[in-house]
Amino acid sequence: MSKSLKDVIPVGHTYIRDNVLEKDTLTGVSESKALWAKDLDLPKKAEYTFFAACGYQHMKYVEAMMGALKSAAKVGVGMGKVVGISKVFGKLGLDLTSITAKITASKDDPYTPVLISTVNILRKLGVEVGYLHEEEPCCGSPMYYAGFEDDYAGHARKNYEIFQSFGVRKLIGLVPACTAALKTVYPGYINGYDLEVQHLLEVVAQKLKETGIKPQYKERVKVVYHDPCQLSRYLELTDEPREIIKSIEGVELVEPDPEQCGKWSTCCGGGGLEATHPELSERIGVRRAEELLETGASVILSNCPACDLQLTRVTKKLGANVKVIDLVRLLDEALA
Amino acid sequence: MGGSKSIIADLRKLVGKENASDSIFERISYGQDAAQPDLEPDKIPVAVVKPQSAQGVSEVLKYANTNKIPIYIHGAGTAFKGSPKPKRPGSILLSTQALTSIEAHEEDMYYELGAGVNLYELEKLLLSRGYLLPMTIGSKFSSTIGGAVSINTVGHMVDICLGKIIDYVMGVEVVLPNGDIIETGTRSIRRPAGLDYTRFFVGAEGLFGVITKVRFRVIADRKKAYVVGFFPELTNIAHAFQRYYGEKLPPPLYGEVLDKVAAQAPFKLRGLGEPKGHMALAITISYTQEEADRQANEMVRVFKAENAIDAFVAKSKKEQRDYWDARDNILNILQASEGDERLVMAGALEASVPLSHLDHVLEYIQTGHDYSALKGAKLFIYGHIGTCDLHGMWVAPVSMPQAERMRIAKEATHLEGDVNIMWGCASGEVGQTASRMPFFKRRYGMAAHRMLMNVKRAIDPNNILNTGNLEGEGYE
Amino acid sequence: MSSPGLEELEKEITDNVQRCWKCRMCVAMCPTYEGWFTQSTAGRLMAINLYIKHGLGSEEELSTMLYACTTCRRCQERCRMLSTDCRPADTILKARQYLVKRAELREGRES
Repeated sequence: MSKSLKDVIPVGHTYIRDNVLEKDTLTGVSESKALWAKDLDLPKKAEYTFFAACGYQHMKYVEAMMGALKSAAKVGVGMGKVVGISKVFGKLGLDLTSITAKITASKDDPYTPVLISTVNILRKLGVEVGYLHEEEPCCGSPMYYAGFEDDYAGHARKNYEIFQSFGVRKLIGLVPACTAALKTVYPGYINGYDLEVQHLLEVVAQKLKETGIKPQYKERVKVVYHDPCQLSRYLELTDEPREIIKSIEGVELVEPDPEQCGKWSTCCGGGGLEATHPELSERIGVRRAEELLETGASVILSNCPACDLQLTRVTKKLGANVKVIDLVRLLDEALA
Repeated sequence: MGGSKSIIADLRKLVGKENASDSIFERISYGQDAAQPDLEPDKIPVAVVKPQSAQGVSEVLKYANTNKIPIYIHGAGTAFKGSPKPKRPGSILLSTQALTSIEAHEEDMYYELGAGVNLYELEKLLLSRGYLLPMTIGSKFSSTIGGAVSINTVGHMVDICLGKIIDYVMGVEVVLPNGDIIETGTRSIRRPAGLDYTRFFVGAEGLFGVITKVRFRVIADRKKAYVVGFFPELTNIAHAFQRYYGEKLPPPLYGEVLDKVAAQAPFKLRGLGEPKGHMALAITISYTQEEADRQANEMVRVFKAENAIDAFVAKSKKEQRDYWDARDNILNILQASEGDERLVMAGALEASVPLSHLDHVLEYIQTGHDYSALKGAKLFIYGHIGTCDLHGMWVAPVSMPQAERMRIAKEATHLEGDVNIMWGCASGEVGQTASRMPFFKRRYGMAAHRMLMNVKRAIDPNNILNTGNLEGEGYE
Repeated sequence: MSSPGLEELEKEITDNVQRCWKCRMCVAMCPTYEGWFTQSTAGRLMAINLYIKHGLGSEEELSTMLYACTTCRRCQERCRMLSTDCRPADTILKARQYLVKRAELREGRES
């Protein structure tokens, strides 16, 4: 009764692990990581390196992939089989997610602009960053949380060598899970790890105070902020996003129940769970959306590609009269 | 009667497939509780059921009664003194968690609540309607109204301020062991004088029936004032409350105590610095803020008269929340250590004693007794001193051999019994059955116990509900 | 089947769960909790502990429970502030590592 890996670990996790190990991206899609930054003139070497990560760039593919998986599930093909089909396509040189996505890079989706906005914001606040472009590795975190510790450790060490080869010393991360991994998980697997890791919001909050710049939004709006789990509990950044939001003129911040925000923020169910337990993920998302909608806000702000995707989907499903905007996009517009 | 396979099949037919589980982990988890997490493999229930209605509960009870299968009743199973744990093999665990209906009847000053309504959700709802929930239970995030009513507990609150739960229960819907569903009480805020068998079930710890609905009287929210004091000796705090009541001042809603060593970890976690002494925390209430503040100032005066190093009214919401949470989250104490010297709880005591003897009891549980294992362990004292209810927690390092730790647990239970008998009381917070039965029999005598057993047999002739709890099985 | 890595994991997991006080504070915080105990942190902790200590349940049942966790860490924060800080989220992650390492060992892969 010998059980192999595929019998005990959900196939969605092994699929993502294989993507990371073989293609160095979350979804296995080989779109170049330099595409979104092609007009931004970012050097490869600089004092601060922006770690864009896979999340925002790949959400559009994840969205399409989830859609394809769900339609397949409707005609009776199980999740495991669909993921298997995707692998087969990959082996034939046909990228299933690219085919189903049919979206060109960076312009037509709500996620990649977040990366461009990040650079804009940093520049407006006087911070120039570098970016590793197509050399940027995937941090590998989904593997870690799925339990593939040995694969992760090897991957993390390889990444550290890449960073070192480009003289990277200070990182500014955007995607909460990746930033948290680089800051708090990598040191446990890499001897002499000496990279300084900050999250974008830490830098932004500090710079707003220093420069005294007052962002101004184009209209009056009531917003509620959904703290992503990784940002609020792993990185422990709950004050900074609120300081930033409150500094924007025209924006009124309302909060859910104190047991549901800040470090107690209720998980939205997005991210890895969507791949392995889509129905449970949706139920969790609906519950969280209802908590946020109770505040009467017309805009839900968050700062994580998984949360953005999940909350967008779920509020649409509920037919709610609310917009889901990434905090970075709002701030970029308010700094114009 | 068939084996466990047929029981789960039968139960699924009665309550619906998704409402009955025989998963090993589900069954075990309901078979353990906070008081004693050790596993007794032969006492694991054969199935867990969550009926969705009183009718469903009735079907399950009829089935169990016919087949003489013991049933253990849970709300969230958070009770402390062994009552939720199965005492007999082959039992069914029945949870009322799914009975979550809420019906407002504010024009008649009550709400009708399913037994499974969550206490925290209820508190929030009532507050949003301008009402106060007259109970504060530490586990409110998990616990249910059905559980609280079946033990007739108000948790931290001072009984003589707003009363006990029974004062708010106008009636219940309850399922008897033979499956009959009956109703008790009234819809009037003037409750029946004389025979009101609501009282047979409120506080009956699940022995006579399964409460499925509670008619709960609502009361207006109050204004509060928070008083914090730090004292050099614990007996100072006892004297302070004796003096406060002696002056015929209105009872506060809460009167809490936390010894200064126990306070260190929770204070540190909340950035409150080093405790200046043993902490007393009182919350005075009234219909007006002026009156609440007046009582608070009186409390500060009394604290200072009893040697307080510092006593003040906490004004900011953050201060109020932090001091309350520091007292409430007593388990933080167990965080302050690592590795083999990590502290675990070994023994616990809870005693509700006469006001004039608070200081004597405090001394007795620290140094007055003869229990050697307890004397060798570290003792933390805390509790609801304003309602004369004291808690003691003895902790030991995790490296201590199991047998020694069990000795501490046993001695703590004996000491608890001794204290209650020496001062003529019974614990006021978590119930009297199961692990407290040996004390109960000493306190009230076998004649009283026989009478209760007769009542039990009359209402539950096949002894299926919470079997063994009234007998004190497993705790001889 | 065991190896030093697995034994160490087993000890870390069971030590943490021993600190769990069964206060159920984490249950109300878990986003996956929908009424059944095994859908909550406390249920997951108890299950992995009983599996390791008493051999109860199966790897498939464990996997189903453990991988339904969203790794949001709300339980860990709750336990730290309100209870004994038994590190439930870390323990669930270690339990996943445990399942992966055991399966890898069975497939003959060196750890």
